[in-house]
Amino acid sequence: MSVNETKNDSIVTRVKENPGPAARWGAVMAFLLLLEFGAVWSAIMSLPWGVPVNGIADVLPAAIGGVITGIAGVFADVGNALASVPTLLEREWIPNQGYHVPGEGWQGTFLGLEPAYAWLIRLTVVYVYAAVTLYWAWRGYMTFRRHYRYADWTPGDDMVDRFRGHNWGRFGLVIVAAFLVMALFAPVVSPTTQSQNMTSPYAHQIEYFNDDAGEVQTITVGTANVGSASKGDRQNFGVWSYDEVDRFHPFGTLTTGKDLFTFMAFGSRISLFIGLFASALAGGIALSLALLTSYYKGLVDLATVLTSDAFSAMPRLLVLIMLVVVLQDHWISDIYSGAFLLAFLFGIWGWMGLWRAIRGPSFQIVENEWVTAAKGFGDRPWSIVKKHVAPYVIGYLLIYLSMSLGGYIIGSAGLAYLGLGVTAPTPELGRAIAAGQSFIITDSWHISVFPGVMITLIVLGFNALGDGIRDAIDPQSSSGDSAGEAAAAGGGA
Amino acid sequence: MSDSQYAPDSRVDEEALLSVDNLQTAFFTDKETIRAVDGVSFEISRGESVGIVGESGSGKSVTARSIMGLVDSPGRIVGGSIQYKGRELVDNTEKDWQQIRGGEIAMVFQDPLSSLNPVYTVGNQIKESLRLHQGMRGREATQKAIELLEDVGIPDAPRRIDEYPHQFSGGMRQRAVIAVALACDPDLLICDEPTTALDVTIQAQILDLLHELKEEKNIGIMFITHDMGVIAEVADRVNVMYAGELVEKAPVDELFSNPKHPYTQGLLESIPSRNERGSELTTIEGEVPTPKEPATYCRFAPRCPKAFDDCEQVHPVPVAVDESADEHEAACLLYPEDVNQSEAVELHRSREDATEQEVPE
Amino acid sequence: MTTLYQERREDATVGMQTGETLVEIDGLKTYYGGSGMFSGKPVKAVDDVSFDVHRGETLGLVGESGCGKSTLGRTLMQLETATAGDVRYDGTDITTLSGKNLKEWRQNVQMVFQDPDSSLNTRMTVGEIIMEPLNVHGWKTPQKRRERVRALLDIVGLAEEHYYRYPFQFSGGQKQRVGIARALALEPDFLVLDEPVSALDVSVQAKILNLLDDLQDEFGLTYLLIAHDLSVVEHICDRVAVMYLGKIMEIGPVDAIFDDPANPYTNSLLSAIPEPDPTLKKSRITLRGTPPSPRDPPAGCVFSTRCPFKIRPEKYEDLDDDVWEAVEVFREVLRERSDVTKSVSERVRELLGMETKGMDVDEVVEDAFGGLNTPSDVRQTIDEAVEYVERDDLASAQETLRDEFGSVCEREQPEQHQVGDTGRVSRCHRHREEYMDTQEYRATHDFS
Repeated sequence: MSVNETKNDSIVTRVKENPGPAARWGAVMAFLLLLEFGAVWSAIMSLPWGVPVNGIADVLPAAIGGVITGIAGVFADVGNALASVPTLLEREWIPNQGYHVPGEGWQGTFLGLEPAYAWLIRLTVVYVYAAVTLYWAWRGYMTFRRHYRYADWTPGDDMVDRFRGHNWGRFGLVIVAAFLVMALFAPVVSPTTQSQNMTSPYAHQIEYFNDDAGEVQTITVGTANVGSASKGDRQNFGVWSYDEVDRFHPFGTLTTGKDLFTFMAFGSRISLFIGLFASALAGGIALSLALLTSYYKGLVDLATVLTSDAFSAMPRLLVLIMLVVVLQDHWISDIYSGAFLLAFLFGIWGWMGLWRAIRGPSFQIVENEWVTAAKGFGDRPWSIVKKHVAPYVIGYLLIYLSMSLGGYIIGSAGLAYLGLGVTAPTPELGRAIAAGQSFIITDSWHISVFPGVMITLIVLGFNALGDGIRDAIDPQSSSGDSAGEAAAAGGGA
Repeated sequence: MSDSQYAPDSRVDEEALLSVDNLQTAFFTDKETIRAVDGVSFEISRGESVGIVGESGSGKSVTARSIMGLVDSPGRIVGGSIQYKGRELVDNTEKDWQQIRGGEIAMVFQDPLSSLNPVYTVGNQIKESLRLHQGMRGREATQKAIELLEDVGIPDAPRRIDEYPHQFSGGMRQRAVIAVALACDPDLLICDEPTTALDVTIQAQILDLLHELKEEKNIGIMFITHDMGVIAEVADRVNVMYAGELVEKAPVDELFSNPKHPYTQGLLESIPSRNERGSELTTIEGEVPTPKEPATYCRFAPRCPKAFDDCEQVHPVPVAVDESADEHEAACLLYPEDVNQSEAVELHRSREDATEQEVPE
Repeated sequence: MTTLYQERREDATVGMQTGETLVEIDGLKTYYGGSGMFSGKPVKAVDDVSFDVHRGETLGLVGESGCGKSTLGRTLMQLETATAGDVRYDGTDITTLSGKNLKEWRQNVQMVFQDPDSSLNTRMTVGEIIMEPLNVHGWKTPQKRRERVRALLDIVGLAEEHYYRYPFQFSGGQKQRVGIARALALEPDFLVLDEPVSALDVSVQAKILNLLDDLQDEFGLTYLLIAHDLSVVEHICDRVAVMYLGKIMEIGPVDAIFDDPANPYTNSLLSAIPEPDPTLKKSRITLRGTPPSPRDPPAGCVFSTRCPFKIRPEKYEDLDDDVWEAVEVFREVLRERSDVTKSVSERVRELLGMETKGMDVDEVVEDAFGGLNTPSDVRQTIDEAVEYVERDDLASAQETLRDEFGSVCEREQPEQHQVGDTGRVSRCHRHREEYMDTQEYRATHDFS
């Protein structure tokens, strides 16, 4: 490498020197993102901006408040305009509509395809897009690593390489990615929309061919749902079926007649939200405490141990149930229909085990002399711990988090099964299991089994991912080269 | 002695106890093959202490472990032979090894804290060895264990039998490890850097102890270290290893007063106490290489102040340094000294061709 | 380099010649534990240490593990809090500094650590590691910091492209160079080197020592070299201090100490070093036993339990050395049996009357005295003590032995005495006029 004074250029100059790979990657990535540009903006617009803006405007004197709301209004208009940019993956592009006229076949469908196949195509398009985008993002990382990064090797590279060779971990990653895509694109992937199916069924109408009347009629979704309920052997709309009004149900219907796949797709959103939020909260608390106690030890550690033992001593499930019931009428229960409250409680009651698990490793890491060296040049405690201890502890934390995340999902499903936690009409997998449990041995077995299998798969996926991360982070894992070299050194001589 | 196969023979004292011939041990990883030990030959007789000296990466620990059959995958012995009392050890099964380890050959490792199991008392660990090899139990075993602790110089042995390793200090622990190793009267003791982790006064005690034991029990000792001072004290003969090969063999006095191989010379010169106080220390340029390809040249050549062209072409083998010295060998193209250079090179070349070795890729 | 360092270099050479003091340590004590509800006796890691460090010199601090030299080094760096005493750096008492003043002062003293693997953060590049102290102190501009890091890499003998490499990719010696570069980043005057070469091979060690020497000449640095390898200390130090169990036993110029040690501990230490010269058959003093626990140091001289030069009561001055040795071994055994640092279960067993201190004491006596020609008065005292032990009364047994065989070494702590005229002090009772001096004693007794 040539040595010159200006070697630490920022990445901008480095890209300018060798624009080829970056440009190629950037172009494709931009194209992919543009396809979903509108969706991103509509997600941003759906956040409750009104609350803080109006809140501030109310507090301030009228004139300034008016100005603020005015500016906010302009932003809102721009945002809405951007949100209305057509995106690739709107359901309207490949709708699964249509009705069946006996003797004539399917009418009013998309490109003459049965609704089932139309839906399947849409599903495939979504997953293909997600797979391509993820793969392209990975390509971006590899391009950066190969062309633009100064260090020709980092410890991170070893970890990434180890993960790539770890089959079980990659399997977990695939499953987790599949569910994340499903949750993210839930409105697109489902055969019906959320509002249509779950929140306000009577406000929507669909067309269908009424056999008796011999003509096309409209009917409210709500009424249709009554007729399409799966109630065991008497009346059942199972897997891959059409109901009486020719709506397509890939996974069948619930006892209320609503589509199960839509329920599961939106339910997985809730589950993942609870899991991720609770994990972030519990993990954040555990990490801060671990860093604090490992640095100061002594009395701080003792106090934390006592606190954590006190929290652990409480019967967690009962406390959760009690709090959920007590806070039923509180406004916090309304956010996301109780999912937020649940996630919050899981987080607050979940840090103990995590902290215990990473306490040992963080004590060991603090013993390293590089921490002493940092103290030696007068660095502040928080800065020392952030730079020198946290990167190592986070690895361990991720491993334990991936396992506890499964626990949170199962926990929320369990509570929903008992009728607590997330309330109707917000979908939650546990409720579906509860609703369908008496029908398992009948034709309507799908109501309980599919959500149950889904929960199992989500948790399995996260556990497998955690395994993969653990083996990737651990420098002694047998899949690495370093083990061979260490052995060749003969154990220290 | 535990097995009649090894019953004392009147010829044993003349025959070598351990005879290692062209040993090769390699580690096979995904990326590369590391030839940790690449053609090492030496002998140890009863009542003599042979030192193996080298820096880290020279392969001395791997040699010891190969002799004990403790080389784990991804490594294995790929060539050569190890003969103990006339019997070949290289193709031993695990069962054969269990007979030999402890009863015939015992090993003392560097870190006494990890050599002893922290959840068993020291007495227990000695008695375990006694039970395995000599079938001793109960009161008899306890008595023998107390005797062994006394033999290695641990005072108040009856009380110490029931204590745990963490209650012993570093030096005491190493003594306890030696006691465990000697529990079943092995004839060969391999010590892998036993005093490196100890303080210098404790080290002195352990070295004295080893000397005493060698005299009393007439065992052979193989002593591995990187400390030249310790070798000067302990060893009768010395083998110097570099990058998996033996570069010089000599009796200890001869080696220190007359080092022949440039590496040995460099090593001795960089010791602080052999330099004048306050002066700059002489050093060897460069770093120890990791031996990955077969040696078709001298591995020390890149760092050698006396290297010449042929050093890159011909692989030196251990030869007597001159006609009179038959105990002093050096693997260097400069030797034998009493013939001219091209003849010497030819000698090395012909000997090398005669012993072709191939390590499977 | 910078002009700052040039000035310092001149100061240092002047300082070296005039013996100007850079660091004054006075009655320093660092105790661990002992001040809390759940602790037993404190660990006296550094116990009343006083000495000076002169500007521009290399002071070696040697001792075995557990003697407190690392703790002393860290207390000088204010990484450990001193329990008592003070440390004056260039006139300022640093034990009273805190907050911003402490942080500013830290630019003056830096440390190089022993283990190259654990002293460098493996997730940071070498450039980041060396730049960290500069960042913490907000040193000039980022651009200038990068330049300085490059310059430092050059000074310690590494290449510029190593800036972006990770510690994993370096050998032990190179990692130590990075550690040295990091220590020099803030232009300190005083470097505490905590066993900087003990984890390295001999040939690599030589290179690092040469580097440290060169750096000292170039930048006028003052070193405190903490080591357990005496040959290294002999080679590069100007003065040496020998520590044992928290106390400085001897301190003085390196020539004086290595050629003619005055203190018994120094004698034992030096004679224990294995010389790389097999023809040298020296008479070695092999110390018996192990150092006592720093939680419970002996009353009187800390070395009294193992000292081969220990002062004997007058009537036993001519006693056979082997018998005396056996007596000492027996006393050591009793001492260990009454050790205060017992585990909880042992204390419980004692309370419940299950633990017998007197077990097998006959065997111990037999092991120690077997085969020796013990005079009758010695034998009598031993038997008395054995009787006490068999009745589980260790305290009386020890007292009996102390009364009979004890001397000033066990009763009083020795002071530091001037030895010779080279500014050497040694802590031993034998330097008092009424007793035979150590050099004489060594000459008259055979220690092979």
